Amino acid sequence: MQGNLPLLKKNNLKNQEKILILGIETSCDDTCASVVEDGKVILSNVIASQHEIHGKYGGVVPELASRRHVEAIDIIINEALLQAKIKMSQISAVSVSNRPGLIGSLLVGVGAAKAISYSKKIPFMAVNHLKAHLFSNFLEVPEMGPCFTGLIVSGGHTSLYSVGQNWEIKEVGHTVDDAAGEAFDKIARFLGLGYPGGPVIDRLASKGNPSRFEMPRPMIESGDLNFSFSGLKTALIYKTKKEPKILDENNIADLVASFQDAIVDVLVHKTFKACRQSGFEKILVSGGVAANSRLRSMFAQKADSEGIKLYIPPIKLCMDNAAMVACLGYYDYIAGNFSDLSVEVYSRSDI
Amino acid sequence: MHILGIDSSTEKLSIALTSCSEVHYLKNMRTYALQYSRHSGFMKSIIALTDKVLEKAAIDIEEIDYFCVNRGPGDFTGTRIGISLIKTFALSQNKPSAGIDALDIYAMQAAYYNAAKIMQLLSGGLRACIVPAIDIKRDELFFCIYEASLYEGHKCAGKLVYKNRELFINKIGNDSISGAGTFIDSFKEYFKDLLGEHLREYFEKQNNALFFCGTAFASYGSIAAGLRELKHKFFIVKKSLYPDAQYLNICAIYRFYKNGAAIERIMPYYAREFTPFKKK
Ligand SMILES: Nc1ncnc2c1ncn2[C@@H]1O[C@H](COP(=O)(O)OP(=O)(O)O)[C@@H](O)[C@H]1O
Repeated sequence: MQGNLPLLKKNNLKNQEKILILGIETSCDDTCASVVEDGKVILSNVIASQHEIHGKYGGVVPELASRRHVEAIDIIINEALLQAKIKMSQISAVSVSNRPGLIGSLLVGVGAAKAISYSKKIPFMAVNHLKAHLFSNFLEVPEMGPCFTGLIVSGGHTSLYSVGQNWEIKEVGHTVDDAAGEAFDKIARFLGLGYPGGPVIDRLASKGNPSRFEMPRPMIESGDLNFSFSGLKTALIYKTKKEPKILDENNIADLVASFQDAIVDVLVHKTFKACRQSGFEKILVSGGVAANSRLRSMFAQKADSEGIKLYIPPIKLCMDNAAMVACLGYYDYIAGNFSDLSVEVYSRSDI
Repeated sequence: MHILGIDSSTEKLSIALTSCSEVHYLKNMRTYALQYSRHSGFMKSIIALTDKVLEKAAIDIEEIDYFCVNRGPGDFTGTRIGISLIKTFALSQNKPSAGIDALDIYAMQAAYYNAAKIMQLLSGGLRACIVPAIDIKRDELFFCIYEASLYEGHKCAGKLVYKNRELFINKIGNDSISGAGTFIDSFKEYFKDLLGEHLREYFEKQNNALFFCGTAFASYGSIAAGLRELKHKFFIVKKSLYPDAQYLNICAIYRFYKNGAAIERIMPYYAREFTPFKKK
């Protein structure tokens, strides 16, 4: 068992038929709370997005994010309970992301989770946000076992993991510069399309021809499993400087479709390569960019032709959410893996 | 009734549990308080310290009737941790909560430590103002003016009662910001605006007193020299340079009896708006 739990003396593990975990997620710019039953039935999944606030600045402003979290946290938790039709006293344990993320944001969620754990005398699990992204797949497919290759692709992360026989997780590749979502956001900002960039580009690209403009496939032949996306952004900007008319209304859809295709192509290539190298038969994808429709269809096609089983959660569970945090918390709970109420928050952390 | 207060708005974390009678609310008040200087963050220790206070008082968190917190202005991170905790305690226990303005707490604390002196001044026809000022960084101070007054007492007891009359402090000015170097000048200007005609009279009677408190006086020793130039009777209340959660609780008790336990949505209180630089 992890942690020495000075306060556990007061914790009475509830002898319930159903295990109800309250999940809290505030690692970046969304205030989220969720109630999940037995690690798989989502009773509520509330997300208060701050996109409008940060949109003005073209990216997340940490101080503003923390301010919104602290204003909303109790309301969002209460809303999650109301929607789930569950009383606070029925909750078996509380689970929260405490790493990695924005410190000021994480502190709000972790403070709230500790307050609930202490005052309701129930166990507390501080979990890794990235691992929770991977586990978002378990909400839909709880019977899934190891081994698999996991790709987490979001606004802050782009990493490949190999999950072995005993659930040991090893990072096998990561981006050496920008995350894929960051590349989407930066290009959208450059093109004046708004924030967050991913969904806008996704929509626009669906009307475009992805083979119209030639885009580099950074590091596709690098030999390792790492990624690089900042060069792609530079290439696109360079192209538009050379030929400003490609920014015209009739060309822009083709332009973003070509850009999106380059990102997706590299992600597909490296993820399947990682899976082959490990000799696995399963791939799990998650994170905000896994909401991308081109990514979903290209991964599905490739999985089909390679005979690999592919798992990508529904779009709402790809984004930051607290259901995945409750789901991961559930597995910690049944394993007796509780956290001490003295845990802190960390901006960086391995999975 | 039992009140739990957390003040994490400065580098000194303060947690207090106050138990008092429902009728004479400040009578037979018992308080268990703990103050702790921060080395890193409070996140690590805040629950254990809260537990310690409750244990000392032999009160379970389920018995708490009212949760309160210093809602700022203060350190951004510390204040947010306190608010997040108190809000969620109240939510999980289904009990009311209150967010108290930082300057109200400093002023209450200063009034408490100087109650006898202030009441003596007031009964002698003199006046007393309490001026908390806090360091809000970037060479700026945030301050406010409170004036003390006496009323026929009815509920209150303890330190704040004098010949059956009760000491109250009323905020008479809105908050304002000034450079630390020019604190005295801005203070005088501000004071003039607020008190208008009364100003002359206030300053003419040099025995009218000014009580200063708050972190500004811990950060900027130079202000004291400026105050001396006022040629006025002034006191720097050393016991109220940092806020103590006991007085946060007393502020909350006053509010409780004035407004009842209204369901309050605690919002942090910032000294200035935050405006990020716009990225191109
Ligand atoms: N349909 C989409 N296509 C591509 N990217 C997307 C799509 N939807 C969201 N994103 C990207 O996902 C990121 C947000 O995902 P999230 O999991 O919340 O990430 P993080 O917490 O790391 O910021 C943003 O960068 C956003 O542009």
